[in-house]
Amino acid sequence: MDFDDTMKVSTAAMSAQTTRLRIIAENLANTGSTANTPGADPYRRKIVTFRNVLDQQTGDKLVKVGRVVPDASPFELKFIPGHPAADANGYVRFPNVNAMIEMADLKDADRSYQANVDVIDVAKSMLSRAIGLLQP
Amino acid sequence: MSDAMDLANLPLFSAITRKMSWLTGRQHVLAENVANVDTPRYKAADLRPLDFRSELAQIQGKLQPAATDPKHLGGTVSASASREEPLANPIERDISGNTVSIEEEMMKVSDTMANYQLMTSLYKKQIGMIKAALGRGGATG
Repeated sequence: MDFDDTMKVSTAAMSAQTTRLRIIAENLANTGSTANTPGADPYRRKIVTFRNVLDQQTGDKLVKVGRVVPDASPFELKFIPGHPAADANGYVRFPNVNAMIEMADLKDADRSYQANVDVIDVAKSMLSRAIGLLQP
Repeated sequence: MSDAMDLANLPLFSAITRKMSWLTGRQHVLAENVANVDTPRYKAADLRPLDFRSELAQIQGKLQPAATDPKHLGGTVSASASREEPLANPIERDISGNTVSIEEEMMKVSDTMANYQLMTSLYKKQIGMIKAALGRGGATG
């Protein structure tokens, strides 16, 4: 239980949030990724899951990214008969990505990341106070 | 073993050291809470408040095993005497069962920081007073 462990916990959480950010970026980048064969599935939104892992050596409760699971919600249908991915009735399936939801998720990841940075800042400042005791 | 000039023998220094180690431990627990703010079913925890009197009683009342052979080890006092326990009545609980409130945790982090500063300042001031008593000029900031 020292400051190194504290920073390790916060760093693990920051890297988990970074992975989450990457998945959000993938979702946002693929907002318009339709298939190019008739009736095929477009890009499916991905969701990051977090889990709690006990570090056997230090006893810390670290955060790790669990599985990245596909979002099971239905695709959006648009009537575009000339599209290469259009089915027999002229409907094209678009990805189930909602930009609003992704942006809200993005803010949440940002907030969590910031909180972890702040904890590291405080831990560092406490450590330097302890080192400061050596100074006459 | 018992050196008269050992600062740890002075009750105030011993108390300050224990409080600092408790604060370090608490900072660690708070970091775990903040880190797990998005982990489903995670229960926010905190350390039991440090009660110096009971800490002292615990140390003094501990029986040491008899060492009948020089190879016997006396055992070490565990550094983490303070126990981690889940919050009894968390402020918020989200749909995934997570009970971490980020605002509350940040408040606790800054509180821990302030207390730590108080302890280090007290320590410095005490050292300054001892120096003054020794006649080497205690005018240290």
